[in-house]
Amino acid sequence: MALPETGIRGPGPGDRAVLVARGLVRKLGTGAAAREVLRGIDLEIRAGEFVALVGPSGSGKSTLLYLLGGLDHPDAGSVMIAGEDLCEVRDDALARLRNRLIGFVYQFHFLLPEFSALENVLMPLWARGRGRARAERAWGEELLGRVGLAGMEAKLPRELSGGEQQRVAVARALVNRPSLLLADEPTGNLDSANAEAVYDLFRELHRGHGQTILVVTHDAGWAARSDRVLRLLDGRVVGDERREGGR
Amino acid sequence: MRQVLLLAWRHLAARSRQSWLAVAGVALGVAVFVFTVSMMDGLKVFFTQRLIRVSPLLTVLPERIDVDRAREALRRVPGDAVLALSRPPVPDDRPTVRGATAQLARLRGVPGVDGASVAADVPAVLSFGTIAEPVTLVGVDPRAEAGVTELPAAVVRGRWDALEARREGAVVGVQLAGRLGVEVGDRVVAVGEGGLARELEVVGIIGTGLGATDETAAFVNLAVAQGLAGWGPDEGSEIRLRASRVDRLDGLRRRVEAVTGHRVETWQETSRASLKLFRMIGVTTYLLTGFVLVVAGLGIANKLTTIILDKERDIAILRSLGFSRAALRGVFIVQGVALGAAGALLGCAAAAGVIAYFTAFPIRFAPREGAVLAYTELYLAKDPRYYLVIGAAALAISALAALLAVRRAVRVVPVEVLRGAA
Repeated sequence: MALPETGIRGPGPGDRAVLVARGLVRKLGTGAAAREVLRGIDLEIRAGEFVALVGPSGSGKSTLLYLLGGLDHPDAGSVMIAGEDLCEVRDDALARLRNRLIGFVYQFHFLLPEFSALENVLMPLWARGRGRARAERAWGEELLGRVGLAGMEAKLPRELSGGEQQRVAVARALVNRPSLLLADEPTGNLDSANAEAVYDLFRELHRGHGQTILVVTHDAGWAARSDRVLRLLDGRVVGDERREGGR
Repeated sequence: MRQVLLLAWRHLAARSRQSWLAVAGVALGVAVFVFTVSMMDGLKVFFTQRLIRVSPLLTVLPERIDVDRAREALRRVPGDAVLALSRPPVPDDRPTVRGATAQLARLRGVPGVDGASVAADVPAVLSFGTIAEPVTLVGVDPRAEAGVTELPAAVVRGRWDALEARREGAVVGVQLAGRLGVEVGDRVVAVGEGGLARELEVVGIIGTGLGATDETAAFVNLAVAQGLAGWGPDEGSEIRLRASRVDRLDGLRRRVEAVTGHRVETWQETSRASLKLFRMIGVTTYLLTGFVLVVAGLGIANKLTTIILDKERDIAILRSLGFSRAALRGVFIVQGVALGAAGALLGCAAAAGVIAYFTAFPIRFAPREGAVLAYTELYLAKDPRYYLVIGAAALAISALAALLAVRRAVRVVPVEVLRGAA
């Protein structure tokens, strides 16, 4: 899938750290049932890196991703994205930061069923009271084109296949030109052909546009083709492998 | 704001049947409420108009104000106190207004008094053939009475002014005439409490629409009533007054009391029992119909709660995409207000249509024996305030319902919902 140049980011990892996490601790449950899911995570991701976060079920991957995405708050530690401390702000201010800095792709597409593909893509702009201008709509259409859905702007989610829905979700995550794209098993719910298409899309975003990406995955293929693989076990980072360029 | 409106609209449109049901609930509540208020106010206006037509606006009663005060003072004296009274505290054992002619002359000079007449209400038995009925003979000066009430216009058969020409004439209430079986020209016998009897000729049948008059009253010349009661020619049970301003009776009442020294009642006080009954019926009806509106509001709360429960995941996604709590609150409040506004508009339109229909083609009822008011036609009052107040109330209830329902929406924690949905 060839993607046109848009100038989101320059390709290749740089020296600038997009994400810095220090001493992240997260406990889930309360009282005697409380357990420490993350036990002091230190992490740094540079601009333009394509990072795979792997680990067995229950190792804390998704919990870590939600903390890094500002959807959850750590019990201790801090998360800085593009120089903004997500742990210092709460509620609506945090929602604004999330909107501006982070694109999120979930295992399920989580599209809003009453809205067309284009409207779903523009939704993060709507959250800021924007998304009606011609240029912004054109940007949404361009993103849909990039993910291979040109001409499907008016389709409702139920009129799209699972792979197409997930690609709309990717376009939505990119509409605010985020500093960091986080994905939680984005192909976990897709067949192999659609999973490959979504993978190619991520790869192209990274290689063609220098998009910084952190993907939680169980898929060994994703890990093998990433620049860097972080291994999580029992709430700790137990491996950090860098590969030159990935595959 | 446009985005908030669009989100709200899509939520409503996606569940159009539920939305229409919620709108229909509010519309029904508003329509029933407006129609009921119009009907209740219509009944009150109907009654009031008839009452004012045939009743004095102010009535000078036999009770003297100084005697009332003496009674009140006596009531406050301790039980074991010894009193030395220079004259009896309640000197007047006959409940009449004395010196009525002089009082009338004085009252006609009081500013704001348009007409005055003496009346003598006397209990009697009226018989025709073998039928006898207890009645109130109302002795009046027919000409003076015509300056105080519109009783002459209420005569349905015969003529009021025949009372002037025929000293022994009587104008009989229409229901009473029906029970006695009398018609204009018939001769009846009236027997007073003291046993005095007078033969009277029916010169008119009167239908005021008020049960108390039509069922039990017969109007006769003042002298006839005074004679049957054994009263003097200058005595009456009351002096009836017409006022130039219906809405300024309290001031006039005080002036009349100062002039006469007698207690004076307004028409509202004289008819307090009936007016209180109307108020009670009104309050009960408003409560019941208001309840319909509240139930409609609950319908909206229920509809929004269903949407919110159903949309919990979408709300979490919107939050994760950066929508503020205020924006989400707005999405659901807009839905509640939109449903309420649509329901209020439809309800007002339906009520206006029904009221217009029944005004053009009124429902008529047969007069009922013993009714307080001969309500022979569904009379609907019209006032734009009904629509404004009830429409605004429906809107407020809908907004309140939305506020109650929306609390859940803004409490959604994205990570909890998304983690559960994954």
